[in-house]
Amino acid sequence: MVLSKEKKALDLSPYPDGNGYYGMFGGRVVPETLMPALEELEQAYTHFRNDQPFQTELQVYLEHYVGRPTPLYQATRLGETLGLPRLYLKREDLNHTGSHKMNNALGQALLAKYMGKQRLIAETGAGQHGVAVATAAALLGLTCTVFMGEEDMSRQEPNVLRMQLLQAEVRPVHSGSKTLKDATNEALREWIAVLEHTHYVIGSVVGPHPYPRMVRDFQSIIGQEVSSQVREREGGLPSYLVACIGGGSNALGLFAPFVQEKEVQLIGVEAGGRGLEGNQHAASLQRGRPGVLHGALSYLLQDQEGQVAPVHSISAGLDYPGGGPEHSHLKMSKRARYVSVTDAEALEAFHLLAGKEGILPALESAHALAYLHPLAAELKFAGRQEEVVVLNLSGRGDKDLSVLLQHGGAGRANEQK
Amino acid sequence: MQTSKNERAPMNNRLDELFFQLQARGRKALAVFLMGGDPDLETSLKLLRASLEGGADIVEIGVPFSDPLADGPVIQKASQRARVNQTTLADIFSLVRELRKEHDTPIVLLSYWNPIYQYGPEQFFQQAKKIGVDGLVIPDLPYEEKRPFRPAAEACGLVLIDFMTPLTGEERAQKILQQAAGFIYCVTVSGVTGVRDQLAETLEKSAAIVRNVTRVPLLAGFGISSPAQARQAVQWTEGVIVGSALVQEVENHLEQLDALPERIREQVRGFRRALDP
Ligand SMILES: Cc1ncc(COP(=O)(O)O)c(C=O)c1O
Repeated sequence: MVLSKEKKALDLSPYPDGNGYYGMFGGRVVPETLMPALEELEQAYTHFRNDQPFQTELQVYLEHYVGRPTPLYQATRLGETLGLPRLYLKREDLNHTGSHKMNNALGQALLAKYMGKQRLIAETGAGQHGVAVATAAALLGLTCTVFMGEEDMSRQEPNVLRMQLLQAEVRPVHSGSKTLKDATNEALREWIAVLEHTHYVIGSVVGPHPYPRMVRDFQSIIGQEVSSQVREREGGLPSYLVACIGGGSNALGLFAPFVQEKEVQLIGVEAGGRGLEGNQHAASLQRGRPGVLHGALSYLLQDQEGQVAPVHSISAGLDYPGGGPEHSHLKMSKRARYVSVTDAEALEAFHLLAGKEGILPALESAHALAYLHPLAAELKFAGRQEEVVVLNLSGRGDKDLSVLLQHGGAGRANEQK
Repeated sequence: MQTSKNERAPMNNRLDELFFQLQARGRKALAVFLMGGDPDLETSLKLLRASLEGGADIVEIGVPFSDPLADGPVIQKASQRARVNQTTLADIFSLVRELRKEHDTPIVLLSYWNPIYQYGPEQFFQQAKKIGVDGLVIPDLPYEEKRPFRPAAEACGLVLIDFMTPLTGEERAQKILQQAAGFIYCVTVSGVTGVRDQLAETLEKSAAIVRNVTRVPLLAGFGISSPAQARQAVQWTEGVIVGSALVQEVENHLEQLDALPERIREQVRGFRRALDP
């Protein structure tokens, strides 16, 4: 039983500790009003993660509804172009609803149902998490409200329509930067106000304990599948794992089963926006300092006085000022490496994948793709191009068509040919 | 973790002194909250003075924050106005210094944790105490996360205020209350701050839980929007905290700043009258 062995390895992870800390990061820095709900959630999660009926039901949905396992596709034409002959794409874009977000949304929605909750609330940036939660709510007969920043509603409009068609209420958020950070504030406020019958489905490995751990666990199916798929195809471990980082859930889902395997290199790609020199980026793990946002201590982009800084990314799903507690710990302990690519590099990578492989990636995933250029150069320099590289293709790009049109659309792609 | 000193020596700060006096005279405490730097630094100093003239016993000064997640729209907007004016922590400290020159009333700062964390908690406590702050209300720092910082605050005689909410169960309340000092901030409704129509019945229940464990005064907050509600609340508590109702008044009169101190003074006076027999 390959899976159960891997699950055991995951349990061996010493993090988080009993108070929800990953080294110095994490915790539960929230209003007292939320504490009873977080305690209730932690107890329920601790119980149901080892509960056979719960796990069986989740497995059935993941297989027959979401479509797991997702393929591990060897991208030969892209690999050839880049000089990475053993490049694999983990096709999370092929999940039902189009991204990895479904793994977590379904897990939490089912947990909420087992807890007797009737309503789900969620924040969303790119809208992929919102769509996944709206979908899980419909599937399980729960009602759903999704908070989304006004700016994100306009740049990810197709997802707003999808959520509404799934009979979720989309509540526009007008405060602050009108993006993911503020949508999260608003969802937390709503939860504080209506705790009793409502579960808040956080969409990434952020927030107060137990969220970062729970989201990691639900997403780690990505890395578990990669582990057996690579073993089958290549007879060993991958050498490099590459994923984009918004809050960090698709990356941690891929990394988690490999964290103890020290020879596997973990690379998280943050949004470099218009460059790291100014403040028009969202590279919290590279440019942030430890600070508290949304209930946890993690690397945070902020000013001298601890006010959270405005951030920028072309990609709504990466446009977030915090790095999540476990990534913060992986960064501080140097177990993982965090890098960034710019808006323009991500756009270029989008067109490259479209042209070479016939796949339209989400702009978030395009960030991870763009980092393959420097990685290929690094491997070439070291004479190690033959290494197995696995990239998490976290989502598909249909939602980004309007942003792509604004940036030259197909005309830009043709120039590249 | 069990602490051996459930009985603590009186801290001899202005809060303890105030409640001692009030109790002796059979009176209830009126705490007012205003955002520092809202709508601008100068006016906010005038408003704080006005609220003292109107009869406030405790002033709570808000430190503006980019992500005030325990606050409703009224205080969020106040925080935003203060930030647009580039109100800094130094400005807030200067407000405290000015007030302290004129009054011996207890002053409490309300700040989210990150600004304190960035300043350095111990340095922050020392600085606050030095300029005359008596306590800190940190809305996003629950009991567990507060515990490591309590000794440093106590060492300089600064009180870290604890919260009780309608959903705090008895077991949890025990833990929180054994540590409590200064006063206990009793959240009267679940939800974020904001003006509400009715006072939740849960106040009675919370008060009963608190009284079983500690004699530290209980103040009702988060939803006291009218003098009538204030009067109702003090049936079970030693006083009330009035915030959003005053901040809303500020928002309603941004075009008439000259008249604002008088309005705030009158509004506070209204609450005062409701509390005094
Ligand atoms: C396709 C896709 N990838 C990545 C992300 C970033 O989130 P995370 O870092 O949690 O994976 C998002 C977020 O919206 C997304 O939609």
